[in-house]
Amino acid sequence: MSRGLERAALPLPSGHFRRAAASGLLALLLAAAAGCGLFDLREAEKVQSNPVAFDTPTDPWIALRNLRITTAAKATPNFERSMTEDYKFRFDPFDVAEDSLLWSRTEDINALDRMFGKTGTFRLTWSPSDSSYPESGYFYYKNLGYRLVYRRSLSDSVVIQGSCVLYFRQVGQQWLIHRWADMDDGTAAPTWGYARRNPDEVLGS
Amino acid sequence: MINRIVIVALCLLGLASPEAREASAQPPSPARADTIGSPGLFRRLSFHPSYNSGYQVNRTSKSWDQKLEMSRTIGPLRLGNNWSIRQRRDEAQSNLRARTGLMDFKADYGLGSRRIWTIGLDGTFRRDSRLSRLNDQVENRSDLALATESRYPEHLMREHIPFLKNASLSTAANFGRGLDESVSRRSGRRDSTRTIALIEHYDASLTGDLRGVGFSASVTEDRRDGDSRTRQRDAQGRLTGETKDATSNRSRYLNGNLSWKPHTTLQSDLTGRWGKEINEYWDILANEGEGGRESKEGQDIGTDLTLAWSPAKDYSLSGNVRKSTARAGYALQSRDFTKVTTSGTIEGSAKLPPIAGPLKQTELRMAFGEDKAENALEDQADFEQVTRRMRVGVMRRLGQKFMLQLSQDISLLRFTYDGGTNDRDERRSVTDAVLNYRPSAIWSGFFSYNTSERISVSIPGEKAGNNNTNQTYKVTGQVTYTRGSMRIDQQYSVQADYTFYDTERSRDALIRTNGVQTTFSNPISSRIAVALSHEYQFRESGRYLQGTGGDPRTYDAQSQERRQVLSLSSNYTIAQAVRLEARQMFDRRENRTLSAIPGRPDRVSTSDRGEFSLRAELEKTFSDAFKVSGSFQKTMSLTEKDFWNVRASVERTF
Repeated sequence: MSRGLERAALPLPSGHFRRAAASGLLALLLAAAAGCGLFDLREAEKVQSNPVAFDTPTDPWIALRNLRITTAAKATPNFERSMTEDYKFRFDPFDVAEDSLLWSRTEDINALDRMFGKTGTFRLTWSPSDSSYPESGYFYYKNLGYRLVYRRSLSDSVVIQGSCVLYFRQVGQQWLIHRWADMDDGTAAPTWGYARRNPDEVLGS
Repeated sequence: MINRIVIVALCLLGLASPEAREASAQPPSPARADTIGSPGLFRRLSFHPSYNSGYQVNRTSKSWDQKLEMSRTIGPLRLGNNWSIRQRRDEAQSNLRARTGLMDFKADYGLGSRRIWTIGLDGTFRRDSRLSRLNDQVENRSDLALATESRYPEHLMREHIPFLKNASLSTAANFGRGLDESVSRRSGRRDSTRTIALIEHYDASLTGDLRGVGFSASVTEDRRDGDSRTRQRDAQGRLTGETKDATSNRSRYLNGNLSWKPHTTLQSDLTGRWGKEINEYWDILANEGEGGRESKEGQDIGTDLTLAWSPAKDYSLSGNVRKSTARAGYALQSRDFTKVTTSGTIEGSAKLPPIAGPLKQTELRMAFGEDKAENALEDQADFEQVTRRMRVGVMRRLGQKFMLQLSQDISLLRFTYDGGTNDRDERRSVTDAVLNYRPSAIWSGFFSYNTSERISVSIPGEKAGNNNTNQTYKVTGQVTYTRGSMRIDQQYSVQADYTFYDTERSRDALIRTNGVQTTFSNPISSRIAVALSHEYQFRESGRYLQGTGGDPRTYDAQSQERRQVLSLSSNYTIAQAVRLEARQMFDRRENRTLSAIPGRPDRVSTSDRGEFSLRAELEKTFSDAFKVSGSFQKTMSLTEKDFWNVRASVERTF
């Protein structure tokens, strides 16, 4: 008892008080941040049936077919479904400045939204030439040619043409594109990367 | 032009008058002369250039970087000259050949006893070229300006403003001419632009301390006004168009900082910046495709406040608040935007005090932050992007043999668009628990448990079909046995990766991966060591099948992969600076696509990869002023062409 009293009589060093205050403040902040619903997700709207056909890309060529169909339908949701979370679009080094060579999935989808917002129609054709053997969840199409025809009217069209290396990664059963490296194919037509960045110049306002 | 400037620069650097050389030459210190071993000419001139060079080969790409820096003071004359050259070649990228060369020189003459006023010449020359099989692009810039710098305003300020008598003020200005040239060739078409510009640059900076409050402020202004001529030629070289236009690039920046330390444990910093840029140029896109003279006005304003409190050793708490606004306005095009970013961060760490009872001495770390960016765009829907993140870490020693570390990270990314067309949320969380165990000097090990979750939610109904959750669970254990220099490690891991879709359950997937890796390393002698490693991995991917008539969903394995990698490496240290390594690796993969039809055999494919590589490493430091290093590796492969990886560098100060 007397020992306890002695202990109680000891002055609390100011350093101890500051440490206790700092620890308490930290714990308080932690509790406040964790308990205020700051990380709650919003509720999604009721799902509308997807009007554009989408086949589960269990093979990389199915992903190419999905992109062709969804381009014709001018719908980006199926582009999003075909890309991994960390998808990157790499421009041809001659199309942009060196410090802006890469685009994220969000930037690419926004650019495609702007392209598909135009009034004309799109038709996409792929020309595969070389590819890797799909192993251990990775696959690529090398020098994959593409030709995108934008038709403003019956007599007025624009051709977007180039080639690309499409890198795929297997996520679950699906082969998803995780990198699109765009390249000029030496023709006078602009690449898809150039058109993504400058839709008004290539497709018209 | 460049050659002439180089000759002049070298003359200035090396061939100054013998009187001036004698006046400025300091006797070299014996230690420096011994270690550097400068050639006599450099030593006599009291001139110590430094040269760095690095060469790299990485399969198909080769690059060579070189840098030369020279400076010399001869009485009141101060000279400086830097060269930087980078060459890159890549056969795999349409035979790309890229070269960048940068040369700058500065020569100034100081007036007054303490160089209170200097006047001289500044020159910068940059050459950039990227040539490939399909395209060529060349960008050149040459600037030459009269430069002056003065401390005379500081002298006046200290004399006439008593409370600024300890502050420092520097002022500088440049006036000159610049030449920009740009040539691009694409699909036979050739565009070239040549601009002759007038250059002006001013800057002033003030630094000081007023009653314990430190302050700094700076103002910078740049102008580059010129006349440009653009020419287009077709594949046959015929002139198809020519445009003449006046260009103008002007910028002004103001920066300020206040720092205050009211107590030894408290620190505060306030920073502000303001910047404005105006660019005027001919734009082919402006004015409904007719082209026109475009004017872009950009503005950037920002403030940043940091408060830090360190009440005791091992305890800290800090907060930071930032706000910035970036605006751009175009006279002709509809591309105006405004981005307002606000962010706040709180970070803290503490070692729990004795009053925490059994938790005392537990180390706790915590950080919380939020960034909000409001984007107003003239040609797209406005949107807001919010990022929140929190990290909590706990570390505690349990007796002498155990150490426990726990951490939890959680982040939320939220996009909100006007009209809600593209609203979406994404939440990621990662939990890590690691228990380290070291019972003796010979045995050690750890056990870890890691789980992560990512939930992606698109709000609009037409995009919500893609909403999914990905969960990963991983358990890892490792045992290490060490005896002398011999070491054996064995690591086990089991991982499951689930993806669930909110609506299309047929797309749900599960990937299971199990692996064991064993590594043995042992030095045979002080110069020779061998290491043997074996890795086994089993990976199974599958999907879920919807049950019918009340049956539960079932898992359907679809493919399996077995992979084994065996590698053997040996190192031989010939001398302290030279090391050789030989490595053999054999990698076998067996992929099995499981048959969905009873009676039909599985489809099996096997791939083998074998590699043998030889590597030599050299690293020698002759002195502080002379270092060389390099590694040369040749890899011979069963599945691809043999290739080289080379890295070599030299650093030399004369």
